[in-house]
Amino acid sequence: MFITALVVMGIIGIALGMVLAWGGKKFYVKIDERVEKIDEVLPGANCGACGYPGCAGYAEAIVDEEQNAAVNLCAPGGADVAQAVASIMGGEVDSAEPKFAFTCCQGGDVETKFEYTGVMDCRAASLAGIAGGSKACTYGCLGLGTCVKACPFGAITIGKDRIPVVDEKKCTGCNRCVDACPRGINRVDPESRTVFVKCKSQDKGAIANKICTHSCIACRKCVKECPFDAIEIVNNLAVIDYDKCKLCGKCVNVCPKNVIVNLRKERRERKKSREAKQG
Amino acid sequence: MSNNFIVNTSPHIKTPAGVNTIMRDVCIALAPAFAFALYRFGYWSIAVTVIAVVSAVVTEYICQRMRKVKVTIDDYSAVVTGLLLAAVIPPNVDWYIPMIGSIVAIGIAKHCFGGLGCNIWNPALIGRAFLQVSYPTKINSGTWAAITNGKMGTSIMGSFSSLVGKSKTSTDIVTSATPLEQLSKVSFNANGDLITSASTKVVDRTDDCAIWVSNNVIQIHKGFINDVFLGNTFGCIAEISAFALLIGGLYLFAKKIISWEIPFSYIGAVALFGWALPAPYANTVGEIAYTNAFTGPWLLHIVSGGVFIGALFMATDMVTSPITRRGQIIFGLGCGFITVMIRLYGGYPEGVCYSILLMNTVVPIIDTFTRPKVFGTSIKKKAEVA
Amino acid sequence: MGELKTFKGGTHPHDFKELAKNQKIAECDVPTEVIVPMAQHIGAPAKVLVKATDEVKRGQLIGEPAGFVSAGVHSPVSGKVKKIIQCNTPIGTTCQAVLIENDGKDEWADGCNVDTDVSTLSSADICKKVAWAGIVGMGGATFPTHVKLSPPPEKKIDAVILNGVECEPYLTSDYRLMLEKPETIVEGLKLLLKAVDCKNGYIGIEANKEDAFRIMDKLCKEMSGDGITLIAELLEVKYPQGAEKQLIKAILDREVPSGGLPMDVGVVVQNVATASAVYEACSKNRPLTERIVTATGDGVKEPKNFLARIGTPAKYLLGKCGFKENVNKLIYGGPMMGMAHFDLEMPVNKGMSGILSLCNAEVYEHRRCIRCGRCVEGCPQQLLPSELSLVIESGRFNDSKDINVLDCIECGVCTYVCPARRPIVQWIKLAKYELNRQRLRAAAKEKK
Repeated sequence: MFITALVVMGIIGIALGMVLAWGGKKFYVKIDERVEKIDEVLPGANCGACGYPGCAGYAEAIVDEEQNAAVNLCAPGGADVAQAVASIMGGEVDSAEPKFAFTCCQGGDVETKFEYTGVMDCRAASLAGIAGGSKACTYGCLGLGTCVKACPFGAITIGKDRIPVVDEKKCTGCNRCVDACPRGINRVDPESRTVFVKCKSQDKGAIANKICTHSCIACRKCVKECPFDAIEIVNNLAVIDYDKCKLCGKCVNVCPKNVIVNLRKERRERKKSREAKQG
Repeated sequence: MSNNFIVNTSPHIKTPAGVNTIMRDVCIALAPAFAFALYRFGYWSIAVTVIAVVSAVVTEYICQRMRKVKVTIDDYSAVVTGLLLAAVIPPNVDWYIPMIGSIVAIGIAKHCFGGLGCNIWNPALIGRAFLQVSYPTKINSGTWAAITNGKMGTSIMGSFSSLVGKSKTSTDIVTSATPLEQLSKVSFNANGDLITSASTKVVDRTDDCAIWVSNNVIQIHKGFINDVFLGNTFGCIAEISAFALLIGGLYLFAKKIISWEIPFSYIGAVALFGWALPAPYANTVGEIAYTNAFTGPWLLHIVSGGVFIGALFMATDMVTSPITRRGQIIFGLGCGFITVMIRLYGGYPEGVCYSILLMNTVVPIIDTFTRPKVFGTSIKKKAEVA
Repeated sequence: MGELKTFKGGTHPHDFKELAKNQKIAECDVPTEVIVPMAQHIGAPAKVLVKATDEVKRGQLIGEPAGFVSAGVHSPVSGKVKKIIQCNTPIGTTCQAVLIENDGKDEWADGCNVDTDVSTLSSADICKKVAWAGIVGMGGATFPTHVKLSPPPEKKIDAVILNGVECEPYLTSDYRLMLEKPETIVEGLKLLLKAVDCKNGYIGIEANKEDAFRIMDKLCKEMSGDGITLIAELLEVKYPQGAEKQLIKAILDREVPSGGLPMDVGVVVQNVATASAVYEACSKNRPLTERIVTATGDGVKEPKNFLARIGTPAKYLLGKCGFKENVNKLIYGGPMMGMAHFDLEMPVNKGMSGILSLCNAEVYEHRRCIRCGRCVEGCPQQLLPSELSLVIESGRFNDSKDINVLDCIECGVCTYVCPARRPIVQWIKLAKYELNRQRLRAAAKEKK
């Protein structure tokens, strides 16, 4: 009995093994080994920041001659990964500068217009039929945390005033929060860009002043102060032209509503400690 | 002033029926069955029920606190689970049996899967199945002969004499088992005395026995089905009286909490297969024989055991039954078929519990195959073909 | 009475029509100031033609249609333009609006309010008149009517259905219109038939408005002839009987294909109020400057049906009915598909069939789906709303597309019947919005 079972199972095993071996040869798909190598180097977060479907998709796109994707598109991986990918592909690359997300709203004491009930999601709360969101400012953050859920790295939390706070230690600049926000509050910029207008309100100055304590009221003080003519008022909102801006930070001091911020100090310290770590 | 307005998406009105009102109605619908249990089995049956309900609610509370979700014991769903569990365990069990059953039902069958709405199987039936494998002697009715000898007091003694009525010799036999066990398990000798309760053996008998086989056809004593239907028999706390359950079921129909699909297809399938399938029995010489097909006691099949509580209260559990009407019919038919298969050919005297649990398992498949045809899609296909 | 015609699915909310049902249409006096929004229709908002201090007369065009799918806006009063302001719309956006000071003279502009013999009008004339009068779907969808009346030539229209179902609870404006001005509706239907060159007209009315049905039935029979058949159909009382696709299914047993329009099955559906407006425009040369609005709900002491000018603030109408202080919800339109808003100053627009104020609107907290299947049974589109809600709740928007989220008509039945109080419609709207955003993003990428 035991012998029979052994023999039968053995024969079946050998037969199936041969079928598999034959099939493996017959249906072999030639994969460029560089794809696998690149895939190993990539962080594997599948965040999509590169614009391709996941890390494997990006790896294929780099190797594929038709798509010919650039090697430095991986925002989470940053310069190290770009370097590694470039060396696999046999080339050098300009070191990719780290990017960080930034939230252009400070919340402040915004009036509420009504009590919102329903799905607790910013996109759902800004749908047609919800009277334009419960906050009086129709441009500001709704604070229901859609970007928090969208962030694959857990870098965003809802802080005080129900406004998202980006933890730049974790943020990789993958753009997910930018896409998720129905009001376009978030933006992603390279690390060296440190001066921002932390407001999106296009309401007229008087209205903006009335409904929010931290809104741009288009007073033009920053425009006058800027030595490089880098700021202009577009639709009642100060907008910085980063081609002209030299990050001097003079505008920050004159803004009466503290809307313009400069992150240079924090970023410099963080960069230092990061570089110290990398040794 | 304008700050007080509520704004949300349409619709702005909602039906009054919420989860809690539905569950409360199920509790109300179970009331007649438990009232009957009080009458039949005395106060201990209600004590068992209260233990089951309280431990279900407490377990729900603890689980929800542990899972850090909102505590929703006010929605009556744990109460319903406790009641349904108590309904399908015998009245004479020790106090810890319903408690363990409830803890398993709520803690494992419900909250391990994510709470109300996420459970795959009916929690009360999982509780019952757990008890059945853990305490078989206490849950299966084999031990009930002892109870009838006075331990449970007069409420049982008083009513059991009316059980088969006219019989003196068969009294002990009948009280030793539920009607279902008589059908498949209990053996008699030529005098109608119980010889063994283990093998499947029913001999030809005259009419002082409740059920017997004659000419390969199961015969039932006149009035027996009536007794079983009204609940003058033995069984679990609230499942014995099909009549009381039917009253509750009609209340649920009236309140539109259950639809006709599951109960009808379930009971219909039990009747159909109970009638059509041959039942095994041991003939006078001890050989296994089968009754003739298409002669089964279908009426006895549907009124006895847990079919009514199963069809009206257990299988209709919203969470664990298919979502479309077509799916519900398939589900009910499957439950009925498996019930009869277990009863006639399986190792257990009763198949309701396992039949529903098995069908619960395949609900996602049923749902996949019974998706309704979306409005306007059939036409599009025709147009494409043309 | 035999089986009434209807569709599959639906539900029966209590209709609360008893509140305003027996209130005759009362002409609402015109406030001293009206706010006329430029976006009163689906499509591009109209372009403002006037500026502050301009004198305008009633019926004068003050907003020019911006494109084909757009509609003109006319001054509802005679008076002086005070200024151009921003004004809220029920859907939550803001748009330009003209604030007009009423001079109380109510003078019509040149060429308006002149009687014309409708029998002399050709099909093209009717379409032109409808576009000139700025008529849009007055049942709430506000789709410009002249667009519906100009189907592409390959789509042959063989039936026009007037929607007198008014299945939304609370609202009674169409009902009162059918009782009090039935001739204008039937005449309007005849004009619409002529406009699309078609012989069969239907009017669908729910069985809870039997008196209106009898009147319309009688008139239809009287006015049939010349090869034209007019039929009034009594339909089962069931929400959403008045949804376009469901109405066509009930009356003609035709199924509008998924993603298609009524014209794909040769049908044009119009609201009864629209038909009446078409008649007024063609026979009396009156642009759309007033409509019937039901002001109702338990937030007002005396619910009423008003014939109100476009631009009358909601507060003004509610004030006339005895507005209560403890109102906590304000809805423009019906309770099933209308829009809640916080702004009491919002003016009456062309699609606003009712203003509903509720005192005891509840706030619900939703929980997990208990799979009761009530939404599946109620869904008039035969979707699985429970599954959709779970899929969208977990953010799988693309998966929701595979289970036909785009076929949802947002009628609200699923959310109304849900015992777990799940905001299913909002999730579905969210999925549609996200899918649309994805599509736009993909299209933008393609362009690059």
